[in-house]
Amino acid sequence: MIKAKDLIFSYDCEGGRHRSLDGACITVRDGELVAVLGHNGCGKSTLVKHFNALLEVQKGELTVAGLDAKSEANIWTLRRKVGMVFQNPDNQFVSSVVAEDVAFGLENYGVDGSEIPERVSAALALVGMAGFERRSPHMLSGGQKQRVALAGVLAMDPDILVFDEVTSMLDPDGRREVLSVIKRLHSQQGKTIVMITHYVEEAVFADRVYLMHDGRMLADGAPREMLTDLELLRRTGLTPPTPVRMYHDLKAAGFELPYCPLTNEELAEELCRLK
Amino acid sequence: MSMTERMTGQFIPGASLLHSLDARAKLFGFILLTAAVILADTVAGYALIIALMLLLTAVSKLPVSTVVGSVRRMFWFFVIIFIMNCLFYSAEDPIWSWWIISLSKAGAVQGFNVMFRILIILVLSNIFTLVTPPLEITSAIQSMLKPLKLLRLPADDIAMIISVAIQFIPTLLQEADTIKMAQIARGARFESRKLHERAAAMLPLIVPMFLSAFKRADELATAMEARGYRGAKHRSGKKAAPMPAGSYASILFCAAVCAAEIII
Repeated sequence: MIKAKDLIFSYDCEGGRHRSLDGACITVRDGELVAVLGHNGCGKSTLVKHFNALLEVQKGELTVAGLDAKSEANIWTLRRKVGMVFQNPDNQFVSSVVAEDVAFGLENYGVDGSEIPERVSAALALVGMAGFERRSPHMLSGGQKQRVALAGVLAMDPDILVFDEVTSMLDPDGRREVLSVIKRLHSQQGKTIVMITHYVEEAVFADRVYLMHDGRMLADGAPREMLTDLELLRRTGLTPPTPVRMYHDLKAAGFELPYCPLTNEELAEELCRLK
Repeated sequence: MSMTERMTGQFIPGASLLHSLDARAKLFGFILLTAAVILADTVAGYALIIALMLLLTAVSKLPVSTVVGSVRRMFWFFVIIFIMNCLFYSAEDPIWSWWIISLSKAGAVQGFNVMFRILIILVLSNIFTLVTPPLEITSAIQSMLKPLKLLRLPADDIAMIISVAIQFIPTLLQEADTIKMAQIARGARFESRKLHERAAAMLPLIVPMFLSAFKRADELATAMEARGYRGAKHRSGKKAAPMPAGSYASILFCAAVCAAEIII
C-alpha cells in the first residue's frame, strides 16, 4: 500500500525554483497495478523516487508499506520493500556477469552467501531468463537487459515494484517482452506495481490509471474511463490510443460503434460487426 | 570497430585453469608478473616473458585475437613512444643530431624496452580481466587493500569504484564510437591528414563524452542506492575462504618467474 498526500517537491534551477510536484496525491492498494500517465516533465519520475526514499519528502505525507517515508530510520527497509527499475538498461549494471549483478542487492542486505545462487536463479526464472547466469549483460538485447535488471530487483523479494519508463528505450519486441513479464508478476506473484509511462497503450492493462500534469493528479480511474475521455487526455497533453481515435473519427463520419474500443482486438471485433 | 574488439578486457566465461583459479591468487600473480616484466632487460629475459605470455594464452583457451585486441588499437601510441625515446633519450654518441634532438643507439634500445614492457603489461592485464569476473576482482582488490583500513581509508569503496569503472569501459568506448560517427556525419574531420584539424575535431568528441559519463555515473549511483547500496562495508562479502593449494602453487610459479628475471 502506498499513500501519498499533498506531496510538494521543488528544486533549484536557472531563474529560481521549479516546482516539480505540486500537491500530488496517490493511493495504491496492495496487489494493484497502477499506471501513472503524463508527458515528459510532468513530475511522474520525481513522484515515484519518493516511494523508496531516493528523494526526501519536502512537504506532504507519504506512507509506503506501512512505513513513514519521512523517517530517516526507514530508508533501508523501504528500499528493500520497494524495488525499482529504471529507464536506461545500460546504466543499471554493476557487473559484467548476469548472476553477479542480480546478486548485488542481496549482498547489500547481507544475505547469507550460501543462499544467494539459489535466489539468483529463482529471480532469473521469474523473468524468463533462466540459464543466462554466466552471460554478460552487454551482449544481451534491450528487452533482455531490462529483464535482468528486473531480476536483480526481484531477488530481494520486494512487495512493491516501481517501473520508471522501463520500456521507453526498447524496440517493439523488447517492449512486448518486458510488458508481459510485468503482467505476469502482477497476476501470478500478486506484486503491487506502479508503472509510469508516457505511452498511453501501456496503461490499458492497468487496474487503475492516474493522469498527471504539472506536478499534480488530474484524474484517476479505470483505464476504460480515463483513456476514452478525449478532453481529459488533451488536458494531460497525451494522444488517445489509436482505437479510441478511430472510434471518434468513425463517429464523425457517421459510423457509430456500440462502444469505444480500447485495444486493437476490440476495435477489430467491433469493425467486423459493423454493417 | 568490430564486436570482438569492442569487448576486449571484458570477462569471458570459460572453464580453463586460469578461470578456475582464486581471484586473489590471480591478482597477486598479475602483480608479480608485472614486476617480472619491468625487471626483464636481457634477451633471455624477454624470451622467457614471451614464452610465458604464449603459455598463459594457451592455458586460458582464449582466442589470440581477443587477447591482443586492445594492443592493436594503441599502435600509434607505441610508435610515438618509440620515436620519442629514440630522439630524446640520450645525447651521448649520437648517430645524428640537431638542436635538442639526437638519435642514439641507447635511445632506440630504451624505446624498444619501454614499448615492449607496456605492450606485455597490457596483454597481461587483458588476460587477467578476461578470465576473472569483475565482482571477484573487486573482492580480491578488497582483500589486498585491507591494510589500508588501518589508515582509515575506505578500502572497500575504492575496490568497488575500480570494479565499476572497469565494467563501464566497453559502454563508454561504444558511445565514443557513436558520437564520432555523429560528428563525422556533420562534417568533423577525424580522418584529416592535417594534425591541427584532427586535434580540433577531438574537442567536440571529448565534451559530449564527459557529459554523458557524468550522466551515466549519476544514474548508476541512483540505481545502486535503490538496490540498497550504502557503502561496501555493509555488503555480505563472500566469506574470506582460504585459498586452495592450486592457487598457492600459481603464486609460487609467478614468484619463480619474477626471481628468474632478477637473476638473468
